[in-house]
Amino acid sequence: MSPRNEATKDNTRRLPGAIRLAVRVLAVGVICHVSTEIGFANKLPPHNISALWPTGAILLSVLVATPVRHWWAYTVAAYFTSVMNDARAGFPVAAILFVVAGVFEIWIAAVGVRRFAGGLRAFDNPRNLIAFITVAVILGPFLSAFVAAFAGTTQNYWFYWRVWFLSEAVAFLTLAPAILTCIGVAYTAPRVVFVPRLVEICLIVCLLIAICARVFNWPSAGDGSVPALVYLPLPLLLWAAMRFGPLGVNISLLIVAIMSISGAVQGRGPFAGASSADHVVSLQLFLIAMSTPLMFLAALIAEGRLKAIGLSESEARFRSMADTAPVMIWMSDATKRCIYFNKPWLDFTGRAIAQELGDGWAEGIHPDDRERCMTEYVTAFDARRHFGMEYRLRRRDGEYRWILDCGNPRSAPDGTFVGYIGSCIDIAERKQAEVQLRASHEQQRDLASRLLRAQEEERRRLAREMHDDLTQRLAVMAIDVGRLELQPSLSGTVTESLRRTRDQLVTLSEDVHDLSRQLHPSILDDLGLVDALRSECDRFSQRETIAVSYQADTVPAGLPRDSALCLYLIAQEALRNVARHAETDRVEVTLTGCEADVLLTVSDEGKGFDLGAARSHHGLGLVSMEERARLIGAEVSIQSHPGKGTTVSVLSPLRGRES
Amino acid sequence: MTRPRVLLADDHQIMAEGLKGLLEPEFEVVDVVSDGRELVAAAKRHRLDVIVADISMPTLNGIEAAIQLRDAGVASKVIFLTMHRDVAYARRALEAGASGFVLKHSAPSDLVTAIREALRGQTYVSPMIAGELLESYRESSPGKQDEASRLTRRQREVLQLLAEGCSAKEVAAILKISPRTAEFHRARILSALGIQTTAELVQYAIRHEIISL
Repeated sequence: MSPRNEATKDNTRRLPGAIRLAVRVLAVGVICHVSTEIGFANKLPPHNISALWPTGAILLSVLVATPVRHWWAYTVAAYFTSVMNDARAGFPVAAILFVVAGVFEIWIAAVGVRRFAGGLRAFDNPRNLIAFITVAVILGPFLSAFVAAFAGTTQNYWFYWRVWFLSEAVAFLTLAPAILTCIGVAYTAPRVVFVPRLVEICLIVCLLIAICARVFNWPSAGDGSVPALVYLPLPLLLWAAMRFGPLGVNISLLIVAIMSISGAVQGRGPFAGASSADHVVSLQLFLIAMSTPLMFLAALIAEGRLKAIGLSESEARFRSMADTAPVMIWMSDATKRCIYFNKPWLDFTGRAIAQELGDGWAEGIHPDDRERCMTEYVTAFDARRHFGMEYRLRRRDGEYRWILDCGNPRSAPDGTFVGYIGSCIDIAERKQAEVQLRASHEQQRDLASRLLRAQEEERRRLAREMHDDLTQRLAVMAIDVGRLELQPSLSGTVTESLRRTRDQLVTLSEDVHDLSRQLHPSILDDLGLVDALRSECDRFSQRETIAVSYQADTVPAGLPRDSALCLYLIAQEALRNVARHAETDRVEVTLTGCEADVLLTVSDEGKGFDLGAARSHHGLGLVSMEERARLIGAEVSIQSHPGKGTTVSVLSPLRGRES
Repeated sequence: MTRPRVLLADDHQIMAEGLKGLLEPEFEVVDVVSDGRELVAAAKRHRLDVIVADISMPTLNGIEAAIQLRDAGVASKVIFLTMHRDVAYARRALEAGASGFVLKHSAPSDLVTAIREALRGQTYVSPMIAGELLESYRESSPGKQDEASRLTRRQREVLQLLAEGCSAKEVAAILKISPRTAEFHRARILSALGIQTTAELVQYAIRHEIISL
């Protein structure tokens, strides 16, 4: 049905406002006329006390359910009969007082119920019910009783006060709730009524009427009547409360009230022989005592039911959210067993929920990941800790995909741990990129190391060439010139120029030798690392006038050539740094061997530097030191603080790089 | 008078030829070899007075060859002739029992002098390097070192921290070195001082006032 159709239908069904109001007011007027007549008819002798004054309760219900601006109309309609009666009687003072007290009382109660007790929802929870009882059942009658009591004689003031108070209170406690809940249900009740429930209601009503008829309307057995019989309706009232909540209880209580009062009026049942006002009071107290706890019970049940509805609604909301989320979601209980998987998870694995529940989901984990995964899960679970783990999960097409699974402990509102909830995303692409990146890093490093090796090899070859060929030839020339010099037949000037030539040859030869040594320290190959370093230290100290204290201790033979060269070059680099930056005149170099390692340290007490800043600045060659060290599987540690000197340590394994 | 018998060992042929020419007038050049192994074999085969050898040679360098000969009881004098104007070479050569250390480019005069000195039982080192060599021996002469100065600066730092009760791990964290390096230092200190336990180490540190109570 389209909204438009509904609107049209609504309009045709609805009469114009004024007419509709008039109809309603008229209806209320008629009902109240009848109820007022019934009220007068059911007064109990000898004081013509009404155990329950119905008109007030009806008007209260109407006022609670209607807009305040219409209240005056309903009030006039409700009191029309009374006022007419009073007019016929010539407006006695008492009658006017009753009208004034009644209107006063009902308006107070109506305002209070709407303001504090939730209006039509006054019976849905204990809080509203307490507010209803306080304003409508106690406050209204209590205050109005002071006005109404003036209707009686002065010496009977408190008697009239009590009569008014109790009859109004009972009416507001039994009749008003029944009407209000009926109105409320009319607004909210489902259009479809289940037949079994309808049958159940009829059964309760019939049984209740039957029992009440037996208890309250049975021809009086005089003194032989059993007072305990009044409890007979109780099981049925409980039944109504449990199954139908406030509506059931309020209607049932109304039935009990009507039956018991009518019985008393006709002089039957336990409250019969109501020759004194005390019997009326006991009847009223019986109704109050019966109503209040049952109404509370119903309110509690209604509240619980509402909460349950709210919960199941939030559950449904969660499910629909989880099933449409772009991630896989699971939940486990406090025993680590999984109790829920959302639709994306099931779509991913292609398995039925029944297969996944409990520990079934773990079957989808890649066999190589399963044990690690379960250990991680159990460990985090026992510690009630958040976890995030990566593993391969079988997709419906049989392919294992890397997923990231994050779990969080969840707890009930009271803080008790109830299990975990987790979500997973497919990270296969990211994982693959990671692997590729790592491989390319590895390749890069491999390439770098091969480049470095190739470079070293080339330098070694060049150095060898220079040393073995050029310098040797120069030396031969020097020797030849020297031999010429020794010829006794030569003149002094020739000898002198020969000597100068030889000196130049020597210098040239030494320069080439130095160049060769810079390219590659062949001393390493000839004498080994210990002597090569000593020589380097000597040269350094001569060149830079920085005293070098060199100590080599138990360095084993057989250090791989790569490692020796690397340590040598790092020492050289570190010494260069000392000369350039340390501003000191002494440096300590140590080379120490142990069973499996060789440790090189270069330390000075110079001005030091800030390590973090130095790393980004290429001049110090820290990165190249580390890169070199990595090639031979050594670790470099550099300790430096401004003003506190620098120590470079390299710990190199004797066996070279283990890969 | 028979000329002293000399063996030449140099892997550079023109150098060997030049040297042969230089020495022939005064000495009998018995053989010319071009690597360390040949040198050892030839020295054992011929009865020689002097061996003139290069240091850098293929298969076995001159110094190693000299050590092998000494160990084998060959009594010939060995004179090294090298391009390396480096004290380290000279020291190593003399430690291997050489009677002379001559730089190649000062060969004509120095080499002949060196051989003559060797034959007289003396040791000759080219003047160009003799000064530095003496200096280096003077620096490393033992005696002035006490126990504690056997330790390097870094080792003394580690020793102090250990004596103060730090574990190797804590030492590593304080000195910003790897735990393995710290462990290495500890082992070295113990063996350098000839002690076994941390308790002894503490005693040592107190005795040498590295830490105070």
